Amino acid sequence: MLGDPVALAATPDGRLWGIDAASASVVVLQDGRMVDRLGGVGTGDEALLDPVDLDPTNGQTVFVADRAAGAIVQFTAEGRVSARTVVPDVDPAAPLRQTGRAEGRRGQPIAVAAAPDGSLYVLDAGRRHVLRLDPEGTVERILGAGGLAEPVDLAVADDGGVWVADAGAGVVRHFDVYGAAQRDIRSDAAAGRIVGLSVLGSVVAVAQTRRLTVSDGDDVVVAPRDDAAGDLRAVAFVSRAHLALLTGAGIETWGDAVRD
Amino acid sequence: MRCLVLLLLAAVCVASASAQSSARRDTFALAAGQSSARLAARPIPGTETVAVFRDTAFVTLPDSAYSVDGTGLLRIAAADTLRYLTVAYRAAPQPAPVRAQLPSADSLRALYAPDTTGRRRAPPGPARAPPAIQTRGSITRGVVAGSGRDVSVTSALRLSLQGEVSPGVTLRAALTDEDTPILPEGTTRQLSDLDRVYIEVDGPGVQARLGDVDLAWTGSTFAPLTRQVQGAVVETRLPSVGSVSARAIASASATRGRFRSQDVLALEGVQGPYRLQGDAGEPFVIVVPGSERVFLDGVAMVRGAAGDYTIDYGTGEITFTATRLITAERRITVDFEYTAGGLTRTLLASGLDLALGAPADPRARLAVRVYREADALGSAADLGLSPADLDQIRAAGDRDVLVSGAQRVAFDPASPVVLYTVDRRAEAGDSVDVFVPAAPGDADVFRVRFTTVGVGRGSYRRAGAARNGIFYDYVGPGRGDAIPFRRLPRPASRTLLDAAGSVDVVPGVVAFAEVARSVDDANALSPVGDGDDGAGALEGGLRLADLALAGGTLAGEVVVRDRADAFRPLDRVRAVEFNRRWNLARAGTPFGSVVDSLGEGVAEARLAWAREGAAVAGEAGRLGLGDLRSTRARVRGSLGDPARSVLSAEGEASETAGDGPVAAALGTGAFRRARLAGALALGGLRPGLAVEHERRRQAGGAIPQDAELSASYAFTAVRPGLGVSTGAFDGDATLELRHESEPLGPAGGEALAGSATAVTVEATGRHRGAWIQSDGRLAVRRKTYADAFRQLGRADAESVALRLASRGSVDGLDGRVVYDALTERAPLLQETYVQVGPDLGEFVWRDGAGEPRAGEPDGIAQLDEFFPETTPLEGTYLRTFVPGTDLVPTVGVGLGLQLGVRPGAWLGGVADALALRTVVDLRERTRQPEVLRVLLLDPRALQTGDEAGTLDGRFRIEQEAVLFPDRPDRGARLALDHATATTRLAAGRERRLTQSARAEGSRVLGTVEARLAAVAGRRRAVSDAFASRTYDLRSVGLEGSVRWAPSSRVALSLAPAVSERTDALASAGRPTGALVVRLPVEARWTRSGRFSAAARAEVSAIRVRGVGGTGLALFELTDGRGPGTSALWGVDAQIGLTERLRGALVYDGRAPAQGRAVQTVRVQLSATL
Repeated sequence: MLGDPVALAATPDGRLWGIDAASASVVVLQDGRMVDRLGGVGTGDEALLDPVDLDPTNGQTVFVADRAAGAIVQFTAEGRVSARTVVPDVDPAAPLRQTGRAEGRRGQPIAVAAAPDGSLYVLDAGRRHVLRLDPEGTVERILGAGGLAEPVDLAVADDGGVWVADAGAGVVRHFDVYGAAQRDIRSDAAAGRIVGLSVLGSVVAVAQTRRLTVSDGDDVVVAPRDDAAGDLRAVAFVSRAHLALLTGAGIETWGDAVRD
Repeated sequence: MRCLVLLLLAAVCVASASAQSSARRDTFALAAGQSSARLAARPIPGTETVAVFRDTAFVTLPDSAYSVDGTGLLRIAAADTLRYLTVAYRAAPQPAPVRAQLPSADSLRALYAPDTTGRRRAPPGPARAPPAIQTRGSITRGVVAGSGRDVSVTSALRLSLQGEVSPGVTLRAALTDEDTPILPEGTTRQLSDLDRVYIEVDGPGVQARLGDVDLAWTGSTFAPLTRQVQGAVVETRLPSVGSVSARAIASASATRGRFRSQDVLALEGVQGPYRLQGDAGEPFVIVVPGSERVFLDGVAMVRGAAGDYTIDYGTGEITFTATRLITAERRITVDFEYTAGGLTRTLLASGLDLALGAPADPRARLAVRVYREADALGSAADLGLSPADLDQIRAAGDRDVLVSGAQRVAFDPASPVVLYTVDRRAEAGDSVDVFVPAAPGDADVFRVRFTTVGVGRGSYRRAGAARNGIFYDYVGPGRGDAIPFRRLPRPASRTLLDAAGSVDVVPGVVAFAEVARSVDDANALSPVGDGDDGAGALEGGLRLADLALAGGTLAGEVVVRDRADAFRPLDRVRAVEFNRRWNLARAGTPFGSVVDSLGEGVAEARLAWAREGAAVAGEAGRLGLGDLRSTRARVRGSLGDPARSVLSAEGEASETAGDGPVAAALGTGAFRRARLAGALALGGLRPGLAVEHERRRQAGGAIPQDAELSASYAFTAVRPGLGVSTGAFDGDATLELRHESEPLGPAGGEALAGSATAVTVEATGRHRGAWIQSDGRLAVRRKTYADAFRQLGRADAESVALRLASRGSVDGLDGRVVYDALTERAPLLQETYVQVGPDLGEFVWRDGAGEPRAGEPDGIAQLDEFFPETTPLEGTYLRTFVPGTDLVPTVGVGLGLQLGVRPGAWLGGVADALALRTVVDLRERTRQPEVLRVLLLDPRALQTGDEAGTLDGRFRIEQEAVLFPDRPDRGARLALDHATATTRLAAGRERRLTQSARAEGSRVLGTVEARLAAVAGRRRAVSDAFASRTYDLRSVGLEGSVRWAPSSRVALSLAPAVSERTDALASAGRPTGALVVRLPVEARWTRSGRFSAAARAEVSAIRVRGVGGTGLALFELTDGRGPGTSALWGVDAQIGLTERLRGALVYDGRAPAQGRAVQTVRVQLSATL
């Protein structure tokens, strides 16, 4: 089902959404079975070139970051492509909030998250900054400007706060909905690189290659992993009591049976 | 290990449960060398148990390995070998904060141990008990206003609910209503289907689903039902009475579309698109997303680029991927639901299932289904049906009613549809009133609805070029495909009652029967013709279920079925290959409902025996279809393991006879099909051979089935193949040699003559190396006709379906390349702008700002009068490209490449500071006859401008070199881009060239970030239709930016830019160039948890050389600012009103040097739920 899984997300109905880099497609799993597959490698309108991250929101709209295409592809629940939004390569220091012009250079989106107000947050690996694409089609750089060393993932909480996993600095940064910096979560370098994060309410799960950390304010839970279990690649909240972990071998869920 | 995990779970549960009294459990991650930690509470001495994490589990330490004093200070011996440890203890009664101490920055309370089995683990344990109903999402409402426009309202809702509403009753819901970001150029978007509601309630024995629900009721012969509906479905288990258990289901809903099954004529060398149509032949129907079931040769296909086909739901077009090579003899059937306007259709469905005996294995079963699908008369007013229209519908019975499609309206320049006026013309001596597009001064203005009636049967044809919108052009009687009339919608209804039962006669033998009756009223308003609306169907038989015999199992069935002519189900009740199986047609039913609406009498028997390594099956039957009789028989058998060495054979024969009108229409004859296949597993190799033969001899047949395929034919195909499987590679390849025969004469019955030979190569491979992984699929076919058949109009054809994908990652090198190619068709696209409001709009209509025409501004929207918005919210139009009616054979080829290189991985030293990235994107659809040159991406064959050249092509290459890629505080970048595009639109051809070179350097010094870039570029556009869209702008310039953030709350930005531009294609009366100076500034103020505000302004001074100039050329020359000194400004702010309520203000304005200021504002409230 998953030849080379690289990203994982979950929807409130319990479905797991993974990206299989080998087939350049989004795989939808329910109760351990594949129930749908979106995209697929190719150059056509429904195809994906290099999908690396996704946000399935509540299961009815799915956003996929396609790094090589420099675009965010939006799928409906039925698997149709309803929009293909180009991520422009914008000057990170210029005053922004400008109408996007997709005929120019494209960025390298490696993470995407839908905000409660309908806007999209996109992590551009080329410029190492976070863009906000609002419903009017304008582009605004909200984080960056030398503040991120090697960002690898981002998530938007229900309150609109933005979390950015910076593997280069070994830290997860938190900004409130107004863009003000909040308290960071530092990682232990001995547990490997930060590879992903997931947010549910006030709880944040941070995946490092050899450790999972779940934080809710000062209350922090750490789950070390055995090397033989395989490096973590991503983490996703299935519910408040269940987490899904992605490794090269497939998907594990904490608090439930193994699924793949 | 499982026991250990269970014990751990139990321990966690016990610890958790007892925590409310005084038991505690603290877990620490000790830093290297750390030997002490403080417990969260004062312990009761002697109650503590200390465990340390070792390998895969926590192990209890002996008392001698630690000590705990009365204050909670824990000391550990041999701390260097420890990292995670947990302390369980009973706390002294005095209150203390329940919090883990933090001996290091990220240390911590581990609740569970890592488990290498990956089986069952403890949950991470929420910090607080979750609420009964978990609500996530938000709702946003906004108001947009602006200069010279109406106020509009925007909204967005995304919500999910999940939880237990009462003991044993759970709720799950998802609601979406949203606007999503869109950007111009290269962005595609479907405007519909953004609203979704789904609610599911589960209780003891009851389940209810509401909103957008999929109905899938199968299991009966005459009453299967698959629909996507908006409504409610309730399913409940009724209390058992004795040994009888029951289940009831009911649904009330509005259907999202109308069900239709369409057989599609496959074309040689055309992977798609194949267009789906409505029942009345309506083109461009909107297919309900996800409702389609596509069958190829009777096999269900999988949607998606990774599957067998893709579909454009907006236009109802299906294209097969490289996985399936489409040739003329393939059989395509599509079941789907579609919308094409008309009355709202409702569906009531209910059912009752009864079972007698043990629930797991009942002795008898009875299922009753009642469906009623009907058009709602209440929606007639929404369609503008007048009382006179309704009277006509009543009088018409089951016949169609056509009325004039013209409706008198006032002229509206912003009308979403083209308005018409009447032009009286002389034609063949008569005076004819013709509808032509209206102008503002016309006295008589109409909105006209046209109906498609088929090629050569109408007097209008779809047109459109420079004028915005799609309109119908008068071409004369019999020369078009549309008429200015509309078909009045008849409210139809269909009711179906079905009862199916079965009983175990003796162990292993089941008797079954089903009876159904339908009432199909094609016009519920009219009693005319209602006499023949009702009809019935019945089925009965015996089924033998898996009887042990001779080491295997024997299964069989005898069934008799009868269906009246007027019986109408709500879904497909015949097998997809029904017509082929009974020799009613060679492939599919191009004659549509002629056969489908005929009743049938069927008697069939099947028997199959199977054991490991062997299987044999046979079936036979008789069919009566009106006056046509058909008999058929089929046998098949196999020996061996299908996945390894196997030999299989299959033979089928069917014959039709009759002397009535149905036999005359379909023809009669014999159909023979045989297939023999074998494969042998030899280690990693699996050679195979298949031979297939078909022969159909038909006489008569008045209904033409396919222009390319004759009713009588024969073919023999030989397919040698080879499968290979090694450690890293597996794949297979087949070569098919196919010889076809057809009669040369037109009527059939003549002797068959060799007509064509076809050679097909298909190969699929997959390589999984350590560094490179590749997948490939190749299918190529060449079909060559004999000279005698070429003279009849048959043409040789080539089919190509290719897909190659490879990706690799080694030290310093990361890349992916994708190449695909298809022989397909493509429509001519028409550029159109649709008014959608400021939320989705991206373009502005400026009447008179396009081509210099007499009478401008004239109140008529022309394509060249639409411009990209300069400030957000300014645009109210969205650009779309509407496909034309005709499809042109093309070759489509695409290439995508991304390559990242870090030379430092090999060279080290200075090279560490360099990163290279290359992106290539190519897509071409061309009519170029030299297919091989296109497949090889010969630049001379791509984006050619001649008539037989490119229909739609683009090529983009980006090359980037970055210095200090790992340093966030400094960097330099050189970026080179080259992009070309050629598009043949309805208005004419457009070609674009974009080139740019950008060298920039950046530095972060404390709170200041500075960047400076030297930029050179070229933007060239040549439009056949519009001189104002033709330009060649070459520019050089400098762009700088400085951002100063004196505190975490405040940031100031400044980004001056200067650019010198020339237009190499400037004609007389147009500026030849410009000096552009822009100075944008921004100030941003943020306060944590309270608000953020940003104020922006830009002053532009643009001095153009020369005078005059309009249209897109001037827009691009001046970056949309216009000549002279102009200003842009704006404010956006977000303010927290309460913890969950937030307000936002977005205000933008611009003041061009000439013309009035344009201002827009959006006020928005968002609530987090």
